[in-house]
This record gives sequence, C-alpha cells and structure tokens, in this order.
Amino acid sequence: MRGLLTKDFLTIKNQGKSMILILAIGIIMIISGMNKTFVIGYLTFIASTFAISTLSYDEYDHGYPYIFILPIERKEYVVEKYLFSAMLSIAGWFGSGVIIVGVSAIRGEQIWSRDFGLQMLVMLLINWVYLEFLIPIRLKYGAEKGKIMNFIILGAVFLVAMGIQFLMKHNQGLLDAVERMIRSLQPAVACILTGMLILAAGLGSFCCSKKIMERMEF
Amino acid sequence: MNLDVNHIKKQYREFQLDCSIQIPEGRIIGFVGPNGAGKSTTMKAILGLCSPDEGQILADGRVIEEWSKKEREKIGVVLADSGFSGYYTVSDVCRIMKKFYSSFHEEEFRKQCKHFQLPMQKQIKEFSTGMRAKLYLLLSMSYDAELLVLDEPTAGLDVISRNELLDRIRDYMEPGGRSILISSHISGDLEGLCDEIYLIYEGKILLHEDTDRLLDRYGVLKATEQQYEKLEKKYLIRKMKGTYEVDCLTDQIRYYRENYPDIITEKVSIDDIIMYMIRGDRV
Repeated sequence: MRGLLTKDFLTIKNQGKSMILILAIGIIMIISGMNKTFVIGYLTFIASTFAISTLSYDEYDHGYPYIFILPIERKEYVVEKYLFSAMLSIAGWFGSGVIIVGVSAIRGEQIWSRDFGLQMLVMLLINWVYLEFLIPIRLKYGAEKGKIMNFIILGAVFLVAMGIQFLMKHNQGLLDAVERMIRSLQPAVACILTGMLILAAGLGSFCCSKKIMERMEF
Repeated sequence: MNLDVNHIKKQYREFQLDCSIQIPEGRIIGFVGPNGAGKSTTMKAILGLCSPDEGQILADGRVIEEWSKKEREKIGVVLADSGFSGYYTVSDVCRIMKKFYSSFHEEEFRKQCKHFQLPMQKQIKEFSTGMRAKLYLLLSMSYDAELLVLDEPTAGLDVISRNELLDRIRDYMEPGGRSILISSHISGDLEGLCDEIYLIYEGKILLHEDTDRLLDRYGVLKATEQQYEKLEKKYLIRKMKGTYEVDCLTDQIRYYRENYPDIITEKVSIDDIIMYMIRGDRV
C-alpha cells in the first residue's frame, strides 16, 4: 500500500505546475467575491480529478501490466485508489475551506456559520458520490472510453432526473407526499440516512471496481 | 527457484496456447519463436497477468497464485511493452521501488544507472528505447529476485551495452538459487547465454533442447534429390527446398558427416533452426 501511495503522490507532485495554476484560480475566485460554497465545490472537485488522473497515468503507455507485476494484490490496488481519492478530495475540501475562512478573516468578514459548515459537508459528500461513480467506470473503460461512458451515464442520470421532475409536476399528490416525508424526517435521521446511502453506494462501487480489476487480463 | 509451467492452455479467438516449460534452479532458459507465437502470453501467465483456462504454474512446488506479497518479491521482470509511467524520473522510480521491495539495493542501482549513463532526473518518456531497456533490466536485477522473467530485454540496445548487460545477467546467476526465463529476437544473445532453448510456434512448443547440444549436434545437409533419396531419414527433423535442391535439418550431424562424406553439411545457428522448424516440412 505504501508503495502505491508513494507512486500516486509522485504522480501528483509531477503535476505541480497544474496544481499551482488551479490553486491560483481558486484564490482569485475567492478574492473576486465568488460564491464561497461554489469555490469549495470547485476546488474539491479539481482535487478529486487529480486523484482520478492517477488512473490515466497508470494506464499510460501500457503501464498496467508493469504495475501488476509489482508485489501487490489487485484488491489492494483498488483499495489504494479509493483511499488516495478520499485523501486528495478531503485535502482539497479542507484546504479550500481554510483559504476561504482565512481570506474572510483578513477582510474582517464573518463567514463561519452552521449553514456554511453544512454547505461544506454537502459539497464533500457530492464529491464522494462523484468519485464512487467515476472510479469503476475509469477502471472498466480506461481513460478514453471512460470519458465517453461518463457522458453517457451522466446523460442517463439527467434524463432520469428530468423524468422524475416531469412526474412530480404532473402529479401534485406524489409531490406533496414526498415533501411531507422529507419534512417529517428529523435532521439527525436525514443525516444518518444520507450517510448510509453514500456508504452503501461506496461499498457497491468498491465491489464493482474490485471485480473489474480481478477479471482484468493484460 | 524452480518453476514448472504445466500444460497451461489459453484460448484467444483463433489462437490457442498449450505449453509446458520447466525452469530449473540455476538454469537460464531461452524462449524463442516468431511474433505472435505465444512467448509473451506464456510469460504473462507466469506473472499472473492473464489466467490460463487450464493447467497450472508451480514455483518451488507451490501454485504461483497462492504466493504472498513477500514471495512475489522474488520475481524480477522485464516486459517488452510495459513499464512505469513515462512521467517519472529514475529518482522517482527509486523511491517507489524502495517502498515495494524490502531488499531493493538503491545504492548499487544508482551506481549501475551512472555506469550505463541513465540520467536520474530525466523523465522516462524522454528516454530512447535502449535507455528504457537498460533501466528495466537493471531494475529487475536490483532486489535479489530468484526468478527473472525477461521479455525482449535487449531490444533497442546497441552492441556494447547489450554485451555488457548480458554479462550482468550471467553474473546475476553466480550467487546460486536463481533462474531466468528470457525471450529475444536476437538469437546470438541466447546462444551465448542460455543453457536450454524452447522454441514456440502457434502456441505450441516445437523444440526443447540444451543449447550446447543444439549448436553441437544440429546441422543442415545440402543434398541433391538423388542423394536425398538414399539418405537415412531416421535422424532428419525437417526438410526444405533450398539452393542444393533439398536442405535437411538433423540433430545428428556427425552421423551424416561420417556416413555420407559427399554431402555438404553446415553448422546451424538458432535462427536457422527456428526457420527450418517453422518453414520446413516434416520428414
């Protein structure tokens, strides 16, 4: 595991210039007064994209066979990818939060509130869902085909969402029932349910990724 | 380490691999054959990169899939078309290898890189084919692996570097308890290095012989049609229409020299044997 993590951190280190550029863009966004939640979401998303890019670097120039002749198990490779992605996304999320709070403090603005904390948490969770969805796709289809599959699946998700919206719009009873159900939930229960859903999705995603890697032949 | 590849079979559309190889401890085994014959597939099966449909691979009597990570450190590999991401430098590779292999000899590896003029801070993607070949061969020998699986390790190397690295491979065997499986398109490399040669063609082993025996006992007879008719066929392996009408490959060249002094005989190289075994007709 240490070897794989070292390998991925070195990959990220080699992208130093791009990271500095992204960070600079983030700081400009904060200074120019852009929506702070959006900036946190953006920087967390970019950090995750860097993590996902290590899969492309591994695949680059028929790299996979060489990785799997190293003394590692395929399951370990998958675990490391999830761990590394989580580490980088948390770093991006936490880092952007610290910068925002710092810049606001310098400006004498009061930013920290329960709502802001909640928004930050939602951004992190959305990002994890994105990663849970993206990792198995990248492993299964590789960098090039993976991008196409990504668009296809995102398109399908969009269509389903549109369908649900259409259904709600034309069925007031259903809309009311859903609203009543959401409102009846205690905030703590809602949090636990959301957490459990994300955890279950993560577990499903991990199992898919593990199976994909175990079946992969080079 | 002893490796026993026992009747492994693998089907890919129209290609079927069906192959057995023994790699005894202390021996260097050459693996030859034309492109697409099954050399890389066999090597990948040994390394667990593809799983055979049938058969098993035993390393020191144990199925190789059951090996722990620690035991997998005993295998050193060069793959013909795969390596670390080209975005790493050799220094990065050192840092990675240290984490993966407990017995990685970093100092010795750096010394060898300097000797073979591999820049430590240059990205691998900027290396020439020969430089990459040097890097991966040196890496495979940098952590006391007991089995080296080398797929085209000398491809792209100039004559001087190739000879130096072949010497390094020979020296690598000196401590004992080690074995090597090596494939190469440069048969001259194998003639001077290997103890045994396996020839694979269309997924099947066509020939397995000690290198000394191949070079000492194998030869070609160049006979006319009339001479061919009168020849003892028992020791002829393949025949081919050639310059002198019929060229025959034999594994008993002395017998024909002694008993048919009027027939021209020639020694053969491994390349000649490959060509006769694949292009020639069975006698």
